[in-house]
Amino acid sequence: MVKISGEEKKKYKIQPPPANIIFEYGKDDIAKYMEENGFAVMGKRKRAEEEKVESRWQGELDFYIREKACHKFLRHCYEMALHGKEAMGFLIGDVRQWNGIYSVVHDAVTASLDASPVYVRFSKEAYEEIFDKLDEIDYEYVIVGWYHSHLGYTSFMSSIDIETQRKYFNQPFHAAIVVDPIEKQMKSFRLINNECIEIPYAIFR
Amino acid sequence: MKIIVKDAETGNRINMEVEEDNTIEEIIEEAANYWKKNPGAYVIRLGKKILQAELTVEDANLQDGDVIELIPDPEGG
Repeated sequence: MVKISGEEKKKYKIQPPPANIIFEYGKDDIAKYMEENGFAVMGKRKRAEEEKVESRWQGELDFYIREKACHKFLRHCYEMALHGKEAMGFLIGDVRQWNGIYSVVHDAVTASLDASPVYVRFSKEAYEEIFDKLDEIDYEYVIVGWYHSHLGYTSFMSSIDIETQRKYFNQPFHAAIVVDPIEKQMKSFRLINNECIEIPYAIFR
Repeated sequence: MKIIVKDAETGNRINMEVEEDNTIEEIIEEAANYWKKNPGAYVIRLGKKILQAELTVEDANLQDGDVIELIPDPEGG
């Protein structure tokens, strides 16, 4: 018989948010940032095949991304876009507390993908590669969200993206990042009361 | 024996008592029900190995104190 004898909830470290902010979405220009760092791809704007649902904006900053991690996933999205395919990976980090809960992305982890211009998921072989990368992390990580890219049809949460968010990343600290290297956009989203809301993010060094 | 199931999406862990003839599927169902997740939606790992649902605790060579982890399998479009 399988029997649960108790739960140990992850304790959130009490710590002020990262101070060395080098980019804040809503204040700084993400298109310029992507261009300056070499993550913009020349390509044609496309029309999304499905109806695009606009996400409401929630302005409180509670999502922080380490620059190194941000460049890692932006580079992945850029390189996959050069091959005409979507990119995807996990956002690895931690959840902390300071005037409320916030999440920090320290790293981005990906592996081989089954990808097309309009769809992406990990391939069957990807997981052992991901496990290797997770085992290299020397702190009690949390998968605080996921990133993926769109190719020229802007950054938004499609119905399949929202389904993924609801299925796996439905806690208040979870986020989704959608990058469009052609439109030079990077937006982040959370589920708040089961509704997909666009949120600001900050990149820190 | 006692094992630990970790939820990679939250960092939370549950302690679980299992027997050698229990299957991985039973373990996952119990954990998923507890956390209100869809049991079929996850990849389960023990170290670098994916644990197949049909394996028993004995077949999977689970040992007392082992930590198995639920990893999401997202799709984007």
